[in-house]
Amino acid sequence: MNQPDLIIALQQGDNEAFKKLIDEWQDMVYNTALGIIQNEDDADEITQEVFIQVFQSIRSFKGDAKISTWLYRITISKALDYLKKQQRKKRFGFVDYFWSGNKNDVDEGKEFHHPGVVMENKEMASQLFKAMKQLPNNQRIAFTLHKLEAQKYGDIAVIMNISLQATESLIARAKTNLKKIVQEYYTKNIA
Amino acid sequence: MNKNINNWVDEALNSLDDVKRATAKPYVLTRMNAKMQNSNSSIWDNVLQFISKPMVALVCMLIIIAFNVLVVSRNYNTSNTINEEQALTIDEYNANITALNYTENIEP
Repeated sequence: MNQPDLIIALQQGDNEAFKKLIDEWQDMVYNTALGIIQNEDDADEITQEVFIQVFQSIRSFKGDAKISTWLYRITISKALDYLKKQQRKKRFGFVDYFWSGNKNDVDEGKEFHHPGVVMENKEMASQLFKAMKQLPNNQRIAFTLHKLEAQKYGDIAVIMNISLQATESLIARAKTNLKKIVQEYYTKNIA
Repeated sequence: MNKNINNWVDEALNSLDDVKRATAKPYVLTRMNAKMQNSNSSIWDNVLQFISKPMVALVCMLIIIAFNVLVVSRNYNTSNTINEEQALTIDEYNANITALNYTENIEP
């Protein structure tokens, strides 16, 4: 089934088409969310939320962008919402604890191991992911799409709705910042 | 040492070069359907959740306290006015209790 047919089938409420959509793009959505938020359970939650939003808003999808681009945009938006929530939790954690007695479960120091990284790179990749958390959101997203999803600069520009030059600049700045952060880490902890 | 650090930094930056795409947990569709059904059937849950939010609870508590303060202060003002009126009436008609007792006592 090609994309226009799939969209028509989805808009007509065809369950098989929806199943096909999930089968085809669930890993892409999950992997992107996982790269940005670095937590497997929450990435799974976001994956479900992305497809729920697709299900609810497929009628308003005009088909002027690729489905994958649309899915990437929804995933990024959901992941950013999640990051905002995490930051709010971190900031007002004590208030939450005071009111509800729930301990703040935002764990910044926890190491993240991406399941797709080869064994010999696990430790290094873990340091890189830790450094990625310190990047501004737009650099983090561009770098994640580039490295984890192997997206070309042109596609990243379309997904993020920015120019090609801006994308190149974002990724270059992300790399420079990551280098600085990782270098600082090694100088402090190993030298 | 610096050379070592630079090597590690380069290795860390290149560590995602051969990364494979992570696969989603199974049964996304089933779990998604269950989530959608739950969210449809729990309007009251949402209402209760909203009411039990600390900020909402705090605001409600403040409104109740303010209402109580208002009622008490109004009653206080009203009771003061009534007491003054009563005192005036008693004075005017010389109808206080001591005077009545006195009248009763002088009778044989």
